[in-house]
Amino acid sequence: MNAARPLPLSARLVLIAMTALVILFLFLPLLIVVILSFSPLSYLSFPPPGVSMRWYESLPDSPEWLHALWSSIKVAVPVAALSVVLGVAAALVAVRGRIAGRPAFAALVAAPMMVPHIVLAIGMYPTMVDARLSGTFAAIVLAHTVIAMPFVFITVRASLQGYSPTLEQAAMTMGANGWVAFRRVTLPMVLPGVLTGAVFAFTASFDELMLSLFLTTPETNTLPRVIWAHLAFQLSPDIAAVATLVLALSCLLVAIPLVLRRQGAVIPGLAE
Amino acid sequence: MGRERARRRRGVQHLAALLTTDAVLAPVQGTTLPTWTPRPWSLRPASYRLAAAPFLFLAALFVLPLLRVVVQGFQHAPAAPDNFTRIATSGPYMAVLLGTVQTACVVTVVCLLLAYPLAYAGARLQGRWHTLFMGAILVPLFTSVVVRSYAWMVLFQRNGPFNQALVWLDWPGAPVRLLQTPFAVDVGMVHILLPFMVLPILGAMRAIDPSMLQAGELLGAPPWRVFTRIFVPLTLPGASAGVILVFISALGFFITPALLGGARSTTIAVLIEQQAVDLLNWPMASALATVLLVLSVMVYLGYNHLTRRFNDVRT
Repeated sequence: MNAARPLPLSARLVLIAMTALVILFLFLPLLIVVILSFSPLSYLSFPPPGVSMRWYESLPDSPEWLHALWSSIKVAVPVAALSVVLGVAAALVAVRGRIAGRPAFAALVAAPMMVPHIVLAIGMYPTMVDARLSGTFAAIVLAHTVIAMPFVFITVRASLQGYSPTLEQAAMTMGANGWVAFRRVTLPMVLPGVLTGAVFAFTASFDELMLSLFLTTPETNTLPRVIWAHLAFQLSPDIAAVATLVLALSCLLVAIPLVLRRQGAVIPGLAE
Repeated sequence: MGRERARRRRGVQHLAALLTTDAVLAPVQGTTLPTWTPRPWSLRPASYRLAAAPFLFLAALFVLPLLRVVVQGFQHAPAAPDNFTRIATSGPYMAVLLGTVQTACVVTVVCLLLAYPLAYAGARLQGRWHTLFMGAILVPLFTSVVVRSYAWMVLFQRNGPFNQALVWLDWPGAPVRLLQTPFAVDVGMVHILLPFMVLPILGAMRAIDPSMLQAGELLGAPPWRVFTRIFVPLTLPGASAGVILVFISALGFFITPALLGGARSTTIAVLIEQQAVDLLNWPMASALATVLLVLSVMVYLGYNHLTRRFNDVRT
């Protein structure tokens, strides 16, 4: 589509208007939350009568939010790491491996994306109880990795498929052994894909609520879990402040796959 | 020693890149190289060992839990009818199931109608504008679903911004009740699932070879015909991937219906959570989860079957 024919002016205006409206639809709710987080009132009133930082200033006084944020990070970082190890191994097997039933293996690794989280949660809870892991961080990390790993698998598989094995062949002609060829040629080639997958895996865990609802205890409550608990009884602006901070983190994280995309990494779902 | 090794490796990498450029390979293409050509590093011996870790992990924490759900679903008190009979014949189960499928259909259609022109605009953008567009699609995707559902709760309150706008417009009956209505659930779900529809369509559009469209023009087709007969069919694989992704996600949706929906707009996922957490009826929760799982798998297999037939026809 790069040499797309210019559209007539009327069509272009309609297209621009539609695009602007849909993007407004995507951002308007987020924008309103950001505005309300600066409200001086203790109830939600729009537009707020003034600007105040009181909800941000009171956040550090509330150990619950800080604890939840810390728990979420303590879960999401190991999930991203474990997903990278398992996802890269699975992608190597799916693209270069020589095993029986390779397509079935690839389908199995991608399958958790297509299974509703509630179904997985119903099966995961008794499994973790049996494994005597219920209520531990390990249980949440393992459960989140199941749903986060497919993102790494998909991005790394796309990176591996994106270049020819003759590169490694050439390296080996030059005297590199298999391990050196892998480390010096394969790994640098797939690194953008690995990092993109890791960011998606981190986000999948950081955002996950369903499995956390079944597996966390007050000790291990993650951020979405605590926001969820607060929403059950009131819509106070301190949630808006937390939500704004989460939104800021999301904006920072989004930049990573966008930059890596220039180096050939694929964004999951966007098969070009 | 270490420096020597690093230098040698850099050399290897450099030569590898150099030797695979077309200029170097062109003269030898078609001729048989007299020298020995090594295989690219092969995983043959290590394949099974490498596959073992992800395979065992998923077997223990994905396949077994799902089997467990199905097995649990068949457990019931000796005198009582089994869970699946109860789902089919009594209680709110069938109505909720049908309502969930209906919601998923509405959300999928609305997402497709909004995403197609959006992706079309995005596919035409270049450079910085395209990156900005991708950011606009990815920021909502990266934002927590709980946070986004909360945003709609704020927007849809009785005295929230949406109702204020209605009052300002002198809308009859304003302010209206928006929270705990199916409308709120539909809007919230479209908001959350839209990026999943845009991305695959955008990918398909960007992959289109412009010469295909030019060929149509050269043969005298008017622009709208080039669009409907060449452009749209080429984007169908992307659109169908988006449709299936959004539809299956919508079937299992929990957070948005739980927060924005009332008792009447409950989805199957909300019902499962209630059975498990509030009523501690794990067999019933498992039976409902089994129904949802089977439904999702059937939809996916049906899609696979259709796209395979479609591809067979095209090739």
